[in-house]
Amino acid sequence: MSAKQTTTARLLSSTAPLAVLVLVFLAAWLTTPNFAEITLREGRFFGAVIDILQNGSIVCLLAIGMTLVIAAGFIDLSVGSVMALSGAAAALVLTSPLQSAPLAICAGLAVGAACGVVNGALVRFIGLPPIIATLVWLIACRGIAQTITDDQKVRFVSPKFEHLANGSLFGLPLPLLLVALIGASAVFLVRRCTAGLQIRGLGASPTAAAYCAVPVTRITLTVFGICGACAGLAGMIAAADIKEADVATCGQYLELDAILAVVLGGTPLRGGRANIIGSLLGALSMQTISTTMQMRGVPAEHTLLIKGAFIIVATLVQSPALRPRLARIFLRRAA
Amino acid sequence: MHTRLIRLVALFTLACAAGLCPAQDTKPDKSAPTKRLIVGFSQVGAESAWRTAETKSIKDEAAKRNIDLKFSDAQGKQANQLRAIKSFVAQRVDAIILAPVVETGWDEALMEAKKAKIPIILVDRGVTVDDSTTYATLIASDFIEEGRMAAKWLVEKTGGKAVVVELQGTTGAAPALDRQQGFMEVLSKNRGIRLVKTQSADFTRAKGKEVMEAFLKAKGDEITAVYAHNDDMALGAIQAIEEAGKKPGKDILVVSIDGVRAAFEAMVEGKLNATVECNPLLGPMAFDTIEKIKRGETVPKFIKQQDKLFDQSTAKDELPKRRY
Amino acid sequence: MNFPVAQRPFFAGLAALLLLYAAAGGRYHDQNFLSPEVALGLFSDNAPLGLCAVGVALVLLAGSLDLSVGAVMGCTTIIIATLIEKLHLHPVAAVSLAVFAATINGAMMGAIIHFARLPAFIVTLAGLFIARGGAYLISLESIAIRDSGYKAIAAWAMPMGAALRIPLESLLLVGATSAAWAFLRYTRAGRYVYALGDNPEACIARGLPVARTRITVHALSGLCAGLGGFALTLTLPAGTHTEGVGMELDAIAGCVIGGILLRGGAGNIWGALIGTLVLGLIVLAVATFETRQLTSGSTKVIIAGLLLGFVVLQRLMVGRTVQQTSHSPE
Repeated sequence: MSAKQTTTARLLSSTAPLAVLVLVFLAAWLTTPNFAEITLREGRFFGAVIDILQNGSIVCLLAIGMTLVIAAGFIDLSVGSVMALSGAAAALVLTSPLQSAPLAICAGLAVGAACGVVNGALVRFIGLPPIIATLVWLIACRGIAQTITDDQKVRFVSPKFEHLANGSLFGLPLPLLLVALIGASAVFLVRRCTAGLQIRGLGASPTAAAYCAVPVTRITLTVFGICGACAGLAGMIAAADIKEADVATCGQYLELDAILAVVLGGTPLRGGRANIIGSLLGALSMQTISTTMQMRGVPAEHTLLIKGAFIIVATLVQSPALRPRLARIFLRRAA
Repeated sequence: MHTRLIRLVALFTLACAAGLCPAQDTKPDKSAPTKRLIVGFSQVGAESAWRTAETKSIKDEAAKRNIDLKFSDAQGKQANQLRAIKSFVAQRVDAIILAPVVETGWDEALMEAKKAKIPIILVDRGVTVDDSTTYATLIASDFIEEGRMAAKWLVEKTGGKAVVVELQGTTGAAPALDRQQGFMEVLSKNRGIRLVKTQSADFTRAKGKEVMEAFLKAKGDEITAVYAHNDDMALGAIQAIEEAGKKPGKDILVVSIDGVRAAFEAMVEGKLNATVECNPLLGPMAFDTIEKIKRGETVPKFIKQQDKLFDQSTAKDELPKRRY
Repeated sequence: MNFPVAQRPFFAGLAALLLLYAAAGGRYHDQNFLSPEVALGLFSDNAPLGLCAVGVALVLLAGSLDLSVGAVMGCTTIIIATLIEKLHLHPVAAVSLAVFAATINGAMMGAIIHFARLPAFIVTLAGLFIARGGAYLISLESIAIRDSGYKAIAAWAMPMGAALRIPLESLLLVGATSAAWAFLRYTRAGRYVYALGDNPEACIARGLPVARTRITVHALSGLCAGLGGFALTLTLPAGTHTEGVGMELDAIAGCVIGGILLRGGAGNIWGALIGTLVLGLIVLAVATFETRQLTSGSTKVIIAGLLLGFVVLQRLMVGRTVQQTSHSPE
């Protein structure tokens, strides 16, 4: 392969998630009427695309945390249940005599981070494989959430808290801006901070990381803690969206969506690399497909098949086997 | 090596010691003058407020009547329910209440109970079995009728002309399929009502909101009515309608099924138009039936719950009476 | 007793399982826990999960992953039910066709994973969606199997001793695990599986048939998932959508509990069975025998607690010698 082909191949790999998203958008736009319509109403934008960005913000948040965890060589299956518990915690604060929105948000974040640290402790101090540790926590966390809410949905009325999901700044929905903020921080962490290097080092080779004096315990607890906090925020946004905390169904199976977004974004599952932007793009691609299916009223059985086909095609585009061939095709066209 | 052996022996002793803790905190008191009824209750899970209201009703009623209730939560899996039935049979309960998660696959378990002469009370959903004598009775609402009632209300309210979207329950679930069937039955006779979009919103409020948002973006100003298979999805749809700048209840009519308290509150606020009651408080009826069977009386095979449709005119008066 | 390091988690798991069983026996002695019926029931009820776990174990040993087992199992039950009830095929033909379809599905996924060099996670996840969507496409609702011939097969059990009868699904589970064990231990292809999981680059360098091995393990995983679906229809005579949901996670957890490393190349296939029995035992104890007034939430917490207790126990017995991480140290 010539140098030109290598560079093109590398370019393709980093832009592939973006290309996939663009293609999905195009497909949706061409096949679904009203898809790209954006109107300005009462100072905020409305449209299917805005909905995608808003509804997708939950999986985006989960994906950010999950990228860090996977980059460090672990996995976190409990994010869905942590969402439910955090949402419940925040809702309980809002319905208690305290009734303070800032306190509720702090409670939700704290619960999320604490759950993450528990996962990290199980992995680091007891030495459980991450898949088992987070699976145990997945079951336990939802059980705890169900117990503290007595299996009831917790409804609340708190305009300040609801801003988390329904508020807007500069016409754009608040969840979207939160995702952008946290995503940017995560990218900064990974690329510019020592911690980011240490996370990726831990994922690439735990033995080498230990020899290089990487503070493994601190890093482990931190990545799981960040993942938990992201899940906590996501859970609060989900609760704020519908003005109630629904512990039974909140976040169910979203861990799979989060991991899928990370893999679609180009982060390898064995760790060592972190492509935060890729994960966000992957999450948005999945959400675009969901929303488009809903707009067209596609029945569930077809949606599942389309999702499956999409995943294969999206990864094929990024496949290392096809990349050189694609690069050759592009270069031949250019020449 | 020795230390490992010692550790193992210690653990073994601990495990056996743990085994000596009592598992049951209520032992059947045979010496009491009137023998307490022991009833086993296999519930699907706790996936919705309706479900937990049903569980609470049965638990409360058992406590009230001094019945020893053995509760088993199946975590949504039929295999767990089958095991629970077998276990109840082995424990020789007096009756079994079963809320089946699906309709098929119960023949063997129910036959075992029949052989042990333990009557089975089905609640809220029926089963398809070869031998219908294996269960004593079914206490449930008629889901198809609920769909019909909702449709008939819509036809009346709109004078037979509307553009309606449907929010379905979980794909393949019996209530969803039946409520859709009933609705479509009435719609086929009233061609002025057009169903333009239908999607599953999983019986949850969050999904109901998401799907309604998508519908509004796709069909926008055309939509004049929403039919949701349950109140949760309808409440989510109401939020979506509000955020789109329209008025739920006025610009877009909303009709749903279940009759939960939140629905009545929404009707009082003028946001929900009508809801068909689907009563989960089956405790009293279930235990009445069990006591009748124990006394030797015959009971009807299908105790159909009478569902009523409530709309905004009666909502305010009904609200204080709603217990779920 | 000097166990090889890699085998320690398996034997520790076995010991912990027996301990757990003894504890449960002690706790529920008045409910007849230690009877042969309960023990047989444990095998029989968890046969679908166990068969899926054996398939997943084979795939894990080869360094790959299969997330579609649960969905394929569910789809198989739907196919069997449809073929028998709607197309009136003979039960043997229906089951063979369905299991064959599952095997081919697995082989196809293996081929895509190998030749397109896509991550197994992605391809098998796509397989999960396609299997689930396909099942709904074939039939939206669950289909009851009423065929009397099928009922006869389901009711058949092998008599052992005076009072014991071992049902077909238990035999299937133990038989499949034994067959997998024999395959891995006594055939060259089986050894290639371990080699591939341990070091794929070395395999290529040595000229081992990597493509064939990879496709074979995925095909076997599909076969096991198909057999799991068949086993499910023996206890639950119907094609259902819901039973397979989440089963892949349980299967993977079962394998890990049983000592099969996630990175591949090490582990004892019987570990899949041990892990399955552990999960089944915990759920059986909590959901069925524990007659206290438990709520749905506390049931979950107790199950999680018991699972945690079990793996901690296993850890204590193994010591820190075996690192179970999800990636290979490089």
